[in-house]
Amino acid sequence: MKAKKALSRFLRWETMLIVLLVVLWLVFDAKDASLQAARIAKGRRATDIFNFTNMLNGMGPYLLYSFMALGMSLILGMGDIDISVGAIAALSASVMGTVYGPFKKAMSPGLALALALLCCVMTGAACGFLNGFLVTRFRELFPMIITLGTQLFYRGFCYLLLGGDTLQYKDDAAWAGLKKLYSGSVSIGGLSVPTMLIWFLLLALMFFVFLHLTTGGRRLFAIGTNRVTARYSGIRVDSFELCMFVICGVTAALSSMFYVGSVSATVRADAMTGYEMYAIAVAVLGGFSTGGGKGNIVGVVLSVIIFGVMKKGLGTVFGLPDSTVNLAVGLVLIASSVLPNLLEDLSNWRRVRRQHAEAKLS
Amino acid sequence: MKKVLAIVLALVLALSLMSIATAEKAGDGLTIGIVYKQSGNAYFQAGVSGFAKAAEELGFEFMHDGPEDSSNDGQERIIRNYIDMGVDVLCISANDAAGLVDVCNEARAKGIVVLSWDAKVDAEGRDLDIEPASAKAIGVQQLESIAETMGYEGQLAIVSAGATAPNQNLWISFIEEELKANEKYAKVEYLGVVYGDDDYTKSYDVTKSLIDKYPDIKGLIVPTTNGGPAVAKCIMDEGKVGQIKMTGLTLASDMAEYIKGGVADATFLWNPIELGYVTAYVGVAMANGEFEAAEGATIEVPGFEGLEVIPSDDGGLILYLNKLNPFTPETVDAWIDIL
Repeated sequence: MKAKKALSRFLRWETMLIVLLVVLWLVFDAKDASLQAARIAKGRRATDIFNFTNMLNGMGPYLLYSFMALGMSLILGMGDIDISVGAIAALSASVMGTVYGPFKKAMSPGLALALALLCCVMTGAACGFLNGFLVTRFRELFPMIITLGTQLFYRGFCYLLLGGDTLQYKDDAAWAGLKKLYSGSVSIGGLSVPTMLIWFLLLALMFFVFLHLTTGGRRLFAIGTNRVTARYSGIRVDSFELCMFVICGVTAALSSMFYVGSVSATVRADAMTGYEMYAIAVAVLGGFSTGGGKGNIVGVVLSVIIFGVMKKGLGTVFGLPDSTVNLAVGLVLIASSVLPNLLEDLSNWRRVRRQHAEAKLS
Repeated sequence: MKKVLAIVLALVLALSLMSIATAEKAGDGLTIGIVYKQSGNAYFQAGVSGFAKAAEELGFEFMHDGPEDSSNDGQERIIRNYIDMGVDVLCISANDAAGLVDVCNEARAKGIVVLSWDAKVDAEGRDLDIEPASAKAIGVQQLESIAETMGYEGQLAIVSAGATAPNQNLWISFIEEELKANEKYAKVEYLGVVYGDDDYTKSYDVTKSLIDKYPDIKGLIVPTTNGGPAVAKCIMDEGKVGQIKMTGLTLASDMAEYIKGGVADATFLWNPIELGYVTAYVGVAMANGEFEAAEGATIEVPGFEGLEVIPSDDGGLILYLNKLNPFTPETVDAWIDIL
């Protein structure tokens, strides 16, 4: 009964996200049509700005933080938070760029890149480990404060490695493969689908299986619901939580590989500043709350798409400045975190009224 | 569905616009997307006002935006939006010269003209870079200004930034070359360069010892924005206003009180409004196919002379305005909020 109720609640949230997506799409499409009409009336060629092909091909910038959002979902599901993922990504990329040069001198470029990518992932894992260690070892401190500290530490480390320079390996075929990683596409049924989207969906599938179909996922939500109960039910809370932080760090490192490709295969110490906030926003809109214990990866995937569509639509057909787009995104985020509570209040109020009515009848 | 709606709306709008006759302008039907380093930055707002001035004359439409965090990926996002929106020209002031090459080349592959202005996009990602002034023009204009103030005679020295500062050293080499080569500076006695290391106190101290050593000195060139106010303050403190004049590259806001106090007849910096104005003219001409960015190509822009495309140090093409903006006692106030 309870499971059924929980299932229906998740379904309802995901349904609402789909409705939101459709509404946004229709609004942008209509606005686009009126824009084109205005252009034609002025005797100018019409350019279809907002359509499925453009959106699909232009998904790149909005997928960069999606990998982190998956990792963040695990952390939020346990009732923790990690605001250092942007800095972890920057550090992973910085390490990757720094070691590639010496590696290349010692071996073939392909092997050097493979090792550099490994170093990138290892850096992410190590940063995640440090976060997890500190969070589980010092329970009296908020994860928010701990990861604020590590965020500054990791970011400072980037500047130590790179200073103010931009690192770039010009005309290096192996390194340029990172560009392909970001902007490559495969043809599926006549549509050119970004490979990045496929990577994201594959990773999301893995996270879905883990979170919703294995005992690991049930443990995670148990910890998020009540850490003490979870411990007494025999879950090794600390080591489990530590593992999740490591996974979160690795997703940040994965994001950074694509990010490097997105900016013409360059590495800078100030890369991906603020991405942790996007990752949290996506996960929260997807249905994960900072309170922990609930959420669904399907919602996160939908939320990634919604953020992309919303940012793209507001930035293009509505012509809002990039900095103003965040205002609208913020509003949706506030609404999405408040709405479930309001709905719950409403259903509680209804139940109480029904009980009152039943009491009167009897 | 969308098409039908578009056509119906188009007809309605077309009818309503029918009565308005419009003159043909070079930029009619063109859209320029301007991308700068950061939103809310007064320098770039001034640049955009130059585009706006050109838009009135040429009739093109323009959009402008910059990321709030001066990031690479923010600029990439904006450029992608502008590509989708069908701009004909992109004018980019890049936060990172190398980081935007790919997205710029995507734009060029779609037939969009890509210009960089104020801060370049690397040579392989742009059609043309448009910059305020060449190193030679910057050097020579400062020399000519101070020499005129001095009546082309007397002692002259330079208070520079650090001894290894590449820009300053390049400008100074052109100043020294011009001093030797040009007859009209024959009576100017050049004392050499001292270094204030872009530090207020050090700049002040080296200026003071310079004045102590050469009590008859008449002119100082300060080719660094960080040194200007310190040198000016020193001249005032030493009671030499009137005898010693300075010029240099300075911000208006730093120097307004000194310029109005008589320490300098004019100091200089490039003018973002003119930079935007010329960039717009170049963009329109290139989009119309009337002008091609090639070595030696020249373009006519109202109020400018000798605009010529030359090879740049990074292997690409560049066009200099070679016009610095003077801050004089009369004009400096208008610039305080911009530079």
